Amino acid sequence: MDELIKNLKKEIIEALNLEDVKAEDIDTEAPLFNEGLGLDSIDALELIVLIEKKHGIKIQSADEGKQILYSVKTIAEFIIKNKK
Amino acid sequence: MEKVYFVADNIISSLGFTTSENIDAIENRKSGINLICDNSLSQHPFFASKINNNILEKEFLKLSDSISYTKFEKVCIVSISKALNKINFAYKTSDTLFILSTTKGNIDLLNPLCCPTIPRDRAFLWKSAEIIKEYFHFYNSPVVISNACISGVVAIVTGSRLIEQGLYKNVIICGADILSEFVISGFQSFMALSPQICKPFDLNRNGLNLGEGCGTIILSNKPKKENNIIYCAGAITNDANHISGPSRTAEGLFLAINKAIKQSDTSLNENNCFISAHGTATPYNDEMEAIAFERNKINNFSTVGLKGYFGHTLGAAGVIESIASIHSLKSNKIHSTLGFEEHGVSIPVNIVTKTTEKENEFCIKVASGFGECNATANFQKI
Amino acid sequence: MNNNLIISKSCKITNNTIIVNDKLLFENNNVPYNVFIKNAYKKYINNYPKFFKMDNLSKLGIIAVELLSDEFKSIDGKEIGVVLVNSASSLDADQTFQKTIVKDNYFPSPSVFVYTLPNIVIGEICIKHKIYGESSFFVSQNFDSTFIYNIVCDLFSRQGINTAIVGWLDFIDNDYLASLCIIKKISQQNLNYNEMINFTIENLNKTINKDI
Repeated sequence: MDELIKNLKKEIIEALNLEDVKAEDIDTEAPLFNEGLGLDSIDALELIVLIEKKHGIKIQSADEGKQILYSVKTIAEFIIKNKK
Repeated sequence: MEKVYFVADNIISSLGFTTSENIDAIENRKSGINLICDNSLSQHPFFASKINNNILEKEFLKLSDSISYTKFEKVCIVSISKALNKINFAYKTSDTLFILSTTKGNIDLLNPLCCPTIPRDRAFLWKSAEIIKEYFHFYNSPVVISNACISGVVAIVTGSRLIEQGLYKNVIICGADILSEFVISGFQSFMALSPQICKPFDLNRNGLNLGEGCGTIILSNKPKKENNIIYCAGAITNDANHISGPSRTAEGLFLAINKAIKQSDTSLNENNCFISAHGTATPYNDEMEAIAFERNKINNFSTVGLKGYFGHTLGAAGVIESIASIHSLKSNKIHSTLGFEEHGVSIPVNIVTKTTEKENEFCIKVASGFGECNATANFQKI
Repeated sequence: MNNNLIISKSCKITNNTIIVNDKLLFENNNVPYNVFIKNAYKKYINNYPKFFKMDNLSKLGIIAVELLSDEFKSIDGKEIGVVLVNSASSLDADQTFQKTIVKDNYFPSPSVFVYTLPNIVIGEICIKHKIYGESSFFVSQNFDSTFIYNIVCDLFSRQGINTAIVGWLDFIDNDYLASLCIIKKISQQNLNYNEMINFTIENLNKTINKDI
């Protein structure tokens, strides 16, 4: 799980062009949206693409995405649960 | 200041190749949106409105047997031809301007497998516009407006302002966009497409349908003998909020409508004016529009949304929907908002649910688009 | 035509150089565009992380307008207009997006798609500077000074605009040119600026189309 979270943070930084943000700066359990990194709706959609591209899991709707994308931890848990 | 008259028009869409075919379909609540299964456009079937390619080819062959035009260019040429058939003044002179409104033009040319005989530089919008200009032997260099989904309304506003100032006598506006894998993929990545026929302003609305279409409007400083519709005001604004999310306070659209209403000489009310909404049927857009209407105290005006017939035709939308609005003013019939069943925005709005005999003097046409932009054009029957 | 309008400031960005009012302000030779524009961002903005999500065209426009922003900082955003022109539309971002939809690697990117319209750069400028006024994006082979002059004059005389950001902004195949200027009414002239350039078709042409 730790390795997944570490890699996930790097993938997020790269996919979302988060310049000057390092993996160790991202709090695993902090909300990604509205506070914390302050990501927006386009970032959410890009994370959905990231999860499909790098982890092979398709999120079907934005609503489904909302809960999964709450924090790095919830994303990691979702990936572990759904990885084929 | 010169008056600006709408003297001829044409619509090409899945509903037909003439304005009257399209208006008839709308009056009879017939949607042009269908389930499209086409691997060249999308891996999965999707709801959209698509122009009949066979009829397009037949129509184009009446004009030229050349194979060196793209589908986008053919649609524009056929549409402009049909509109020009309705006027009798010289248009190859310096006092006539051609404006092309499009978001993506020949974007399918970015795929090397597409149209291998067409030079890749036709992906440049101005190059495609030049090809159309050369076909008709227009005098002036074409003006290309590419302002996302408000392009059509911006073209009407821009063309009208140029005639008002006496800089041109006539302006031919053609707004067009075709379906492409490029655009469909993009909207799919936004999760913005509805898995059914769209439902503008409806409680259960869940996204838009794309559409391909072309609208041509000819503006002139000279009226027709009768039944004249004029441009009376217009405005273009920005929300200054988020590049792809509508402002929650509808600031930009509120300002655009407000500005245009102030420019109109006569006072507008629910008995003499109707609204032709943008109504894409996304959760946020329609809510934003309702807020803009309410802030301008026009939310009780009869409101028509046409995207249930045409889908969202992007660069063509403002032109096609303005043509329908103009015909509403002429025929004293307002069109119903196909797809709307149950009120679904936080503000009371007056959505027209069936084709209704109603005399109106004015129409407020609105549009909003990515990049935070909004535009409105007001039309008047005189 | 005497219209009481002046060109109060101009900015040109091309070939890794930034020139404002004909003076070279910044240079970053022998580095690729993305390094050049990032260094320009660090020097002139440095507190706007949204910059890094933008496409090449929007980054170019944001930097160019930043260098002109003194001229409209105190103006009501509703009275500022933006008129931009280019030849390539959003083809640079379009090509990037096209790469995300190839058959064997089909992952359409929403954050790239959002920039596949040329007017998005106007949206970014308006967000950063809280501009609500009239804006338009035209696409043509060259900058038509006569046409744009007429459009801009009308914004001032009849559309309630009193300051405008106008010019050419193009990016294609790593070739880029931002050539923008500020148009304003004479009564708001910056008194420290010695040379008053009247807003005429000829002066607009000289300002935008002048070779470096």
